[in-house]
Amino acid sequence: MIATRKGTERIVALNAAARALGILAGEPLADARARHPGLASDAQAPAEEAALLAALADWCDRYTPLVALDSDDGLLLDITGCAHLFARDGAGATQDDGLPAGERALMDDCLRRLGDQGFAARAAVADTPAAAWALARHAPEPDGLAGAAAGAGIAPGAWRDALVALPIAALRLEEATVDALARVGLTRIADVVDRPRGPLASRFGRELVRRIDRLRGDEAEPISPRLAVPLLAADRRFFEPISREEDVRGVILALAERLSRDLERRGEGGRAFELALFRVDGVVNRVTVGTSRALREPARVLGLFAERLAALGDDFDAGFGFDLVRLCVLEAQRFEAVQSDFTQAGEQTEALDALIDRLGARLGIARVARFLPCDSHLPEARQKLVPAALVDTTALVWCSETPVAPDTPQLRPLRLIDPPEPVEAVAMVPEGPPLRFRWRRALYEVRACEGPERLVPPWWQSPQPPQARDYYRVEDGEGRRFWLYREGFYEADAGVELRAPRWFLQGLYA
Amino acid sequence: MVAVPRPDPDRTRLVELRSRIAALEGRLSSEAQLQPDPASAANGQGPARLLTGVAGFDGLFAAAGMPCGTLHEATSAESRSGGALTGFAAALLSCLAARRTGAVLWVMEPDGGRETGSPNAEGLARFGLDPARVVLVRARCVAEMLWAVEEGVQAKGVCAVVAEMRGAPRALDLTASRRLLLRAEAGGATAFLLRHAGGAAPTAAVTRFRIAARPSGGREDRRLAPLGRPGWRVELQRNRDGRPGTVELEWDHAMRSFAAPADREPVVPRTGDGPAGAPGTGRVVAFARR
Repeated sequence: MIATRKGTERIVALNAAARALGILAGEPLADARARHPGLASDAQAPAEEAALLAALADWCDRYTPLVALDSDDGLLLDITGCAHLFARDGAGATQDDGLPAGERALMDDCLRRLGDQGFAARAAVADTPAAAWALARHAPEPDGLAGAAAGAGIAPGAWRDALVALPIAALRLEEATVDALARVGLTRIADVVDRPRGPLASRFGRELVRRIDRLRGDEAEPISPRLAVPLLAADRRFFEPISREEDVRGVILALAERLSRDLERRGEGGRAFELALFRVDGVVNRVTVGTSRALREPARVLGLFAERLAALGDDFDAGFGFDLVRLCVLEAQRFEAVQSDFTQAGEQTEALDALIDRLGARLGIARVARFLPCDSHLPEARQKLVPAALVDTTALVWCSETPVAPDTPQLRPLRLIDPPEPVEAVAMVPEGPPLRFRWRRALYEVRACEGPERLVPPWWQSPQPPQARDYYRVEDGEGRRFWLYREGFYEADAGVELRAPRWFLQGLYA
Repeated sequence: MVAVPRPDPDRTRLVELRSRIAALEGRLSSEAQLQPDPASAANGQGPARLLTGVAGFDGLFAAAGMPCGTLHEATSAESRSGGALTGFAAALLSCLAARRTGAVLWVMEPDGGRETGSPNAEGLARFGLDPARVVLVRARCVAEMLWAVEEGVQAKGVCAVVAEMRGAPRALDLTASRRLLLRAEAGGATAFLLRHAGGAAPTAAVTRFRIAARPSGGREDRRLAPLGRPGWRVELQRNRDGRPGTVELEWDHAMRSFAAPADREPVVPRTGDGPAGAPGTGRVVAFARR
């Protein structure tokens, strides 16, 4: 892999074979080519590498929910409390290097699976992120294993033995600091770790002291995970990958049952669920559904995911099967147990909510909408379509119960054309109603007309003074009714040439 | 069957006064309250038939009134008559929603709004259909639309489902519509297929209404005259529950009910400098005491 740095093409990454030839990362490509003309090289693609790393991070989600990206070629996993799940029965509690069996098994599993996928990875497990980082990136490579998967671990509390021999760069310092330390002969971690902190800080900056503290575990270093940690999660691993849809459904139901027990204990119900399907080849499919009310019934959770998977259709590719299925609750809410009453009103709302969830799961939550009234007098801004699953129905007050006196006109149309369509109209000058107009190439004679109703768009929102609109309700010879407006006036101001206003059609009446 | 009397100027004044009193008292006027008939209200399903109060319309069906809990179809000749078709649907939905509880599911095609615009909440509210009860679904394809309708008619909290489309989609054949019909009859919600510029493609719906706008009657040159009530020329082209026929209908906003057209001059709301008022306004009339 090559990239252009400081005006020359330099080698940024190389494989084991190249390393065996004595080529170093950072070397100009021309120098390496001079020695070994047969080198194959390819330009670096940072975007694709980042995508690959993100996919790997997704995949690492199988070990812990706390996965963070580390610069552009590493991953940090917080496996606190997760490792014991991987310890196999019968294995000794600790191995010869003092690493607990769970951690060892987790790391081995991770390296083995990555190796199967064709990645050469190096891993380290330690008490602190800084120690693990130092060990993974700067530990001397075991002989004969250069470039292949390699893992190392530090037993709890034993960081000193493992790390003091590492070069000072393993402290994750800036290059300038490393150089400065090297000039005074401090090249190994052992050289600085027990020195008085005051002089070190005053000479090389506080950063060095902080890094040492982090290595020792005196200062906590939280990792920033890529994904939000789910409130609750349940997963199931398979020795033999599953791929049939019925199997996946069965697993979802079983996981939902486990989650429902947890939710019940917390007195909550889920508002958003996520299903993560870990494919054997490392791809992770994530499917999210939202619900309109707190939900914990396993059958209904399964129903929502079934709609979602059905909607995915051919996009849902099981490949060689899934070996891990996880169901998470991303969002939860107090679950209010309702007692059903005789009026069945509660039952009806619940049935409607269930329908809205089902439709939303299949079509997308924004495609199932309700009309939300908006405080504006412009017709196109008076209503907003909001997802029915998210809106609080008490906010939908449309005052339709006010009785109307007979023969008050229908002010607003039944259908709104947005954006309004321009029409050619013949109208009385200067401010009269339209007499005939042409809309979509058809000519309409106005036979009856009501209006005008003048609306002015908010002047404080546009730099130019907005044009007033005069709305007319008109009827053509066959009884069709339209809502037309004229934008602006026929005007001939002093010095300004005559400007004909434009006409638009914005709605249809019954 | 309670037939709503023909509106005459005196009656109109009476309704106006009553609704004004009702507005002061903060309730719906007595005429606007539509009672479900007691026989079928007992099962909580609302009436099995929708009485519009217009004898010419109700009489077209085998038993008086349009059957509920089944599949109906309404078409218009051209998509520019979309206002009339929507108005007729809104009027029927308003009658239905007043008699039953539950939401109205309005399912639209993917680009349904492009040709005829999208339903406007305030316009629906004017017809007496509370927009808060409407759930608008925008499907991505016809197959999804049919699926949503099918789910809707089976759901308990839904009183009516509208499926709006242009022309005659191939996916909506006899089999698909028969499926919808059976689901609607099993589920209890009333389903309407609204087909803008819909041809004569056969469906399994119980009825097929051909809707055209009806010019408001009156004098010849009515430029600047008010529009009056919305009206339709409803041709019942096919009716498995009675006989076909043609009837002209109007919608009375105050009563929230259909009415037979009276072809009277639209009454002009009294304004200071508006166009000349029609005869009858501003005149004190006496009417018999009941």
